[in-house]
Amino acid sequence: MAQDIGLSAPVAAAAPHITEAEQARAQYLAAQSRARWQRHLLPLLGAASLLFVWWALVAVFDVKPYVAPSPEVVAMTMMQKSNVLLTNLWPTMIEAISGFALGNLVAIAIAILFVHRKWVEMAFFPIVVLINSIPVVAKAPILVLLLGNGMAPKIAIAAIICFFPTLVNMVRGLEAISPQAMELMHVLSARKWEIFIRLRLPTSIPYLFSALKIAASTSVVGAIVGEWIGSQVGIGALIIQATYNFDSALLYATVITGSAFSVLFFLTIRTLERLCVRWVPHPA
Amino acid sequence: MSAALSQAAALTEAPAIELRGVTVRFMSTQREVVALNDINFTLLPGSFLTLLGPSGCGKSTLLRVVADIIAPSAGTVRVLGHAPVEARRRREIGFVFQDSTLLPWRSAIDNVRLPLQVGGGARTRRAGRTPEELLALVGLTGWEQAMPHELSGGMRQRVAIARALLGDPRILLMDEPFGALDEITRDRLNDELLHVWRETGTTILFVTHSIHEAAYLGQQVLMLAANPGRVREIVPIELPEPRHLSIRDTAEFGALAGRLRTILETC
Repeated sequence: MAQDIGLSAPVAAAAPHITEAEQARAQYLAAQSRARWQRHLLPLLGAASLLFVWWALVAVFDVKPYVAPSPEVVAMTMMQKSNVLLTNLWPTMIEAISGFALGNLVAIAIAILFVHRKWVEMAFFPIVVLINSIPVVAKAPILVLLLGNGMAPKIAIAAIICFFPTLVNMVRGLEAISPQAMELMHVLSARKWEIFIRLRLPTSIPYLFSALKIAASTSVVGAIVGEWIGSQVGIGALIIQATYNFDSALLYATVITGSAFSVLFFLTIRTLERLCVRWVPHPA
Repeated sequence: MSAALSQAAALTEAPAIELRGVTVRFMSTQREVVALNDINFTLLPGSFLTLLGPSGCGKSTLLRVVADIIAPSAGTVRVLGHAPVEARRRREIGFVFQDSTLLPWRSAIDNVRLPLQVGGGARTRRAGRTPEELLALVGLTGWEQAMPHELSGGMRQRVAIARALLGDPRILLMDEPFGALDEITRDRLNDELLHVWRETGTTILFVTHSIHEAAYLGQQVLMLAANPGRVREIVPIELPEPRHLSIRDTAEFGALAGRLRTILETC
C-alpha cells in the first residue's frame, strides 16, 4: 500500500505539472515582451514629456522668439532651412571625420612606439599631458594663426582633441596582457613582432574602441569650436551667426543638426565595435 | 610494461630532465630572496613527477627554470641532454598554466593551433597529432568552434592541455593546472591527464598543492620545503597502474597521503 502511494503520487501530479510549466513559460515570455516595450517606449515618453514642458514654458511665460523658440517653431525651421543646415553640416562633417582619422592614427602609431621604446614614452608623455591640459578654446586661436582660415585648423583641432584619450587607452590596451600569456609566447619562442600581432594588438582592440567612441563625439566638438574662430561656413559658424542675429529658432535647429551628426557618428563606431569585438560580452 | 620500457629507454637515452645544484636568487628592494637552493634531481623519459610543497617553496620557479623562462643563478639544467633554451627552441616543452591563458578572440581549435603560428612552429612541427585529434584526446570533440567565454573552466583547461601537446613535446610542464577548478572537475581531469600521459608517453612535471592530487598522479612526489626552496624528500608512489579514482579509498593510498602530510608539516 505504502509503495502504491509512493509510486502513484508523482504520476498523478505530472499532468497539472506540465501545464503549470507552460503557464510559467507564457508568463515569462509576456514579462519579457513587456520589458522590451518598456525599454523602447519609456525613453520616447520621457522625451515627449520634456518637449511638452518646453512648449508649455514658452507659451505660459510668453517667451519672446529672440530669447528662446518654441519646439514647433524649431521643427518648422529645420524643415524650411534644411538646405542651409545641410550645406553647413557638410564642412563640419569633413573636418570632424578627417580630424578623427588623423588624430587616432597618430595616437595609435605613437602608442605602439611608446610600448616598444620605453624611453620615448618617458621623454614625451609628460609633454603630451601638458598639451592636453590646455583647453581647446585656448588651443584653437593658436592653430588658426598657424594654419590659416581654411579647413586645416579645424581638422587639426578635431585631431588634437581625439589624440589624447586614444593614446592613453591604446598604450593601456597594448600593455594589458597577462604575464602568463607572455610566458606562453616565450615558451613558444615567439618573436617580438609575432607577440605584437598575435597578442598585443588583439588585446588592445576593446581599449581602442572605448577611446574611439569618446573621440567620435569630441571630434565634432573640436570641429565646431574651430569654426567659431574665423569661419564663414560650418555648424560652428552658423551657431555664431544665428546668435548674433537673435535667430533663436535657427540656433536651436543648428545645434540639433550638429548633435544628430555626432550621435550618428558615435553609433557607427559602436556598430563597428560590435562587429570587431565579439569576445567581450556587450551590455544590451 | 610501459614502466619497463621507460627503464630500458633510460639506459640508452639521456635523462628527460636533470638538475644539478640549481639555485635561483631574486633581488627585492629590501633583501635577496633565495627561491631555490641547491636543487638536484633526475627525471627519466616517460615518467610522471609531481611537485608538492607549501606556497613560496619555489615550485613554480622550478618549472620556469626547466622551461627556460627563468635562468638559474647557479647550477646546471639539462633538458633531454641539452640546455633548456635548446629544448625550448626545438619545441620539446609544453607548458600548462594555472590560468588557461587562452586567447579570448580565438575559438578552441584556433587556440590549439597557436603554436603552429608563432616562433617558426610550422617548420619545427613533427609528425604528431593534429589540432583536431588533440581536442578529441582531451574529450572536446564537437567544441572546436566554441569561444573561450562559452567554455567552462575545466573545458578551457583541456584546451590549454591540447595546445601544450601540439607538436608532440617530450616534456609537459604543468603549473597547478587544476588548482582553480572544483573538486569534481579536478578529479575527472586527473583521470583524463593520466589517460593522456599513457597515450602520449610524455614526461610530465606537475606542480600542485593538493596532497591527494600529488599522490594520485605521480610515480614520484618531489617534496619541496620553503625558505629557502629546497628538496625535502623524494617519495616514490608504488600504486598499481593504471590507476583509477577508486584507489583513493584504499588503505594503502590513505597511508601514503598520511605520510606526505607528515612530511609537509615539517616543510
